[in-house]
Amino acid sequence: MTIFLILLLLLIILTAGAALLVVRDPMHGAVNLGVSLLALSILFLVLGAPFVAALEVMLYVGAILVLFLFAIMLLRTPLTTWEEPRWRRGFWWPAVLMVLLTAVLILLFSRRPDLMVVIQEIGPGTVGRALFGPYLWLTEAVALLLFAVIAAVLAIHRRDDHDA
Amino acid sequence: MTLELALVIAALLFVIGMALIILRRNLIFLLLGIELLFNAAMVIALAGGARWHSVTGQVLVVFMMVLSGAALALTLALLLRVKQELGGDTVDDLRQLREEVDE
Repeated sequence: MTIFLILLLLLIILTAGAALLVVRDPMHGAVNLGVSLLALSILFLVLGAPFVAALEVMLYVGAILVLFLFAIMLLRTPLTTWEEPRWRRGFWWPAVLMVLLTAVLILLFSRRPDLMVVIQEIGPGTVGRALFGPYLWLTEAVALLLFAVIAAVLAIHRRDDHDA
Repeated sequence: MTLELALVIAALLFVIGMALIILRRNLIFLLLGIELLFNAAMVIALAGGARWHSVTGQVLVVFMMVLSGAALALTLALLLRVKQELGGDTVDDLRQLREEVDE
């Protein structure tokens, strides 16, 4: 049963990745990346890492994808206009992805107890104890790094004022 | 079997990300490819953690997520600068920089 779920996830990632290679609009690319990230979070759940699965949804789909959407919006690539047919031209591809994701959801919610117990689960508590125990100095270093990134991004945009 | 399939998925993600970086001209797609590469590395780290029942894999993945987010924020800011200065967002627009140096 778990094998079936993982094969389904592989199919979703393959489909979304193939779509990423051929789509023209960057916005479509971002949405396809989001689909493959959702499939990956389910894979992390199967691999016994529920904390990382939640982080994948919150951090990647919630923050990084939104960052991409902001960048695409700010880049203002010219919008292509097309005549309004009943369905959009690339309609069937997202439909396939939606069907596959729905199949994964149905599998997850109608799961038998043996679906997730293949691999021993390591919960958020253990991860937190590791992060704030032996890896505390690394966590603090990451905090410093994020602060430096904020400063760097501000510096990149600030040069604009001097030029003007 | 689960772990082997996870590694297959990681390889697939790596190939797709590499193909995006090599084949696409738009810089946004290049950044999407880099994110896919990060995700492939994360899958491998998690598979290793699951194989040896160690929490280190998950800790590594958390740090990788933060690092990829930080790198992405910087590169997106640079991308906006490139668009402002060079007026385009493709790899070909960046080639212009080398030509200016060559002259």
